[in-house]
Amino acid sequence: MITAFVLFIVLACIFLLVTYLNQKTPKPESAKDIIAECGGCNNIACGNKLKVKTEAWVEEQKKNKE
Amino acid sequence: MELISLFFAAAVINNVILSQFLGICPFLGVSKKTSGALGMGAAVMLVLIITSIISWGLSTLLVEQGIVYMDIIVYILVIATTVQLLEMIIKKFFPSMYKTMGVYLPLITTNCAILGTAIVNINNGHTFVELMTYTVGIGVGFALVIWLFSSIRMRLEEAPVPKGFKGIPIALIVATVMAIAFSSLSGMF
Repeated sequence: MITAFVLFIVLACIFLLVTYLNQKTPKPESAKDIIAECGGCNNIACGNKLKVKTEAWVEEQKKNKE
Repeated sequence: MELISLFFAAAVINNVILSQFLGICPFLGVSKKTSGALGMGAAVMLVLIITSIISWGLSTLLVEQGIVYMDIIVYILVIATTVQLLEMIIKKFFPSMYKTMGVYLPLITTNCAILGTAIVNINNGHTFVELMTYTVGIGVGFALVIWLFSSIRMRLEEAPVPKGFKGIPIALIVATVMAIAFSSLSGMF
């Protein structure tokens, strides 16, 4: 039981350390904010909540209707 | 010969996506462009290999210490750590790939294909060579299928698909046809 607890704590600490280092690593200039760049595509497979109906998307829908 | 059949079975016949239905999220999410699909395939393969080796080593420790009930928690922590590490490396050295994979990169953590492979390797009692063959086979199978699927989806963008089938519906039909095609190879081994 103690071994299990120690193993869990060690692995959790390694995970937290790596996550912290990952957060500290700066994002590349071209991908500063990926979610903010999303214009919305209404793809149901996409996990991004920001599914804004952009002008481009509305135009595309109009073209499809035509 | 046994290793070749193990590799071929893992990559094609018991394909992780089309036969075992694991890893469907990136299969549908990152298959719009071939470049992104190949990047995701390579990233998943790398995470698969690293996590399988570490999980295999840790499973011996778990058995020795009599704490086998900890296996899934341990594997999940190993996978999550590996993905964070990989994200850090990609962010630093491959910015274009980071942008292509976007929100799907951290989601490799929840890709059940990786946890599934680690569990299958341990439950089947694979030796290290068998583990590497099986894991690389699974990774190749995943990358192959996601790449083929993305190529088809790119062509479908230009195809005169009926309005009601555009997007995800036609993608799911294509996935079904691919699954049938792959299952037809099951008699080979």
